[in-house]
Amino acid sequence: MSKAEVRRRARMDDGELGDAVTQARDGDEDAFGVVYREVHPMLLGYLRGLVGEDADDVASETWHDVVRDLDGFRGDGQGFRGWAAAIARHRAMDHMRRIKARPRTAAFDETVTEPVTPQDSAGEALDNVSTQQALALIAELPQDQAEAVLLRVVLGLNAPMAASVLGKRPGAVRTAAYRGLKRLSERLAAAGEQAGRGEG
Amino acid sequence: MRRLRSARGGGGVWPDPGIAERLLDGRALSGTDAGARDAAGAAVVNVARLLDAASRPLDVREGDEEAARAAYREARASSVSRAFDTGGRRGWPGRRRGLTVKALVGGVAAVMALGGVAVAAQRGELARPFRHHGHVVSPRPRSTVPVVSPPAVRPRPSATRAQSPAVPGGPASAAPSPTSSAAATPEASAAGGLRPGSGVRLPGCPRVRIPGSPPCGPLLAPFPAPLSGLVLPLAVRCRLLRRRGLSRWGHLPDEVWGTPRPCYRLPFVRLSGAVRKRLLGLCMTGSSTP
Repeated sequence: MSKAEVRRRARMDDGELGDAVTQARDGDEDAFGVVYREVHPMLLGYLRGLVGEDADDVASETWHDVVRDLDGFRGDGQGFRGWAAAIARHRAMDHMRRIKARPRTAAFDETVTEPVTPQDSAGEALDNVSTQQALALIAELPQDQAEAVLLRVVLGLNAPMAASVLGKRPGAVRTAAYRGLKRLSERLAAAGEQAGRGEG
Repeated sequence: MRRLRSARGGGGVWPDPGIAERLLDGRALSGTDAGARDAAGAAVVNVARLLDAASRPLDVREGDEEAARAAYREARASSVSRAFDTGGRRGWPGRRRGLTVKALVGGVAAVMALGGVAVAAQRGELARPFRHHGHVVSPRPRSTVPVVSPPAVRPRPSATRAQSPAVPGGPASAAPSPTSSAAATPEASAAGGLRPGSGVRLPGCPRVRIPGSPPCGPLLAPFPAPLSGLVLPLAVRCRLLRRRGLSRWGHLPDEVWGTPRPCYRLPFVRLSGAVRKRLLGLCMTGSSTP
């Protein structure tokens, strides 16, 4: 319970990120480094949920396009996150078209079957879950729900920006995200019950 | 699943939109949300833990940042060079540049073609549609001395028309111009005697010509004195001018192409009475001057 109440990793303010993007657009390489270190881990997490182990390669293609088209970008930090996410999504779609199948990432069942205490089996399992395992569990959702949750949680986009990335209305994205959370909770509960029966 | 069912039973349908938004935004479930948190039960906490794990930064592959910086430097260099090539105008597409070049070449070609036509018309070397009625326009003489050419056809009684001034007081009455040779062409000779059916019956002329009688004088005279003024309509006057060897535009055979003539009837223009009278006056006095 206490870990859930901890606020997530503090992200750079949208204004600061927007200023850094503007300086990078004007040719400041150090500012570009700031932008990269801020945005790249989020992009990598989003792409890990989309393409699995090939996320690093797709992220490299994404940054290649970002630096090529950076002169034409206008907006703040939130807009830059959404813009980069849209480019990453297109590159991921191209990648998935190339491999003709959506890759299966690491199975979450292997982690939740680890020894847990009988009092709060699911909670104890989630204490030890890694980022990749969490992303893999989200990636098992239907694609619209997985993308909505990833954009909102991993990239920190608000609903309108996520909707613009996905080409949908904000209401549709909110609904998809809610359904994804509900399905995640059901899977976590099922995994906890399975772990509890194994202990018993 | 049992926990989820119990949560639904205690606090309604899960997830509550407010709690879901807090989970998606990464905001902590503070003490004020204790009621909602209790209602959702452990399911909300488990989802919050999962989302917290998913939002942690992943390990970045070594060398990716340096590669991105190199791509950034390369993109900046190409952007600067592109801006230099286009004179500071960024984003100038090559397709638009190609269209501009095509438009420029097309414009130059059109100007040259029209200029060539104008020069050829001035020299009288145009093809058939620009020639006058049947007679070949000879090139303009190079010398400034007027050359009087003898009549090329046999003299006819109607040749007396050539001696009559086209316009009273006009230069044609003083000295024949080089264009007077055109009046000797069959077309011009036909002007002296109107073709059957195409003539205009003037006042004083019988409807049917009596064989052996002299031709109707007013018909032979282009602008007879009794008909001066506004007796005849514009079409009739201009038709008479054409009978004298003028083109349908009112040009003399050797005149510069493009010389305005009032006998040319503009389509769809209804002239008022004053303008019409003025044009008639021009037609009588100025346009017939060779």
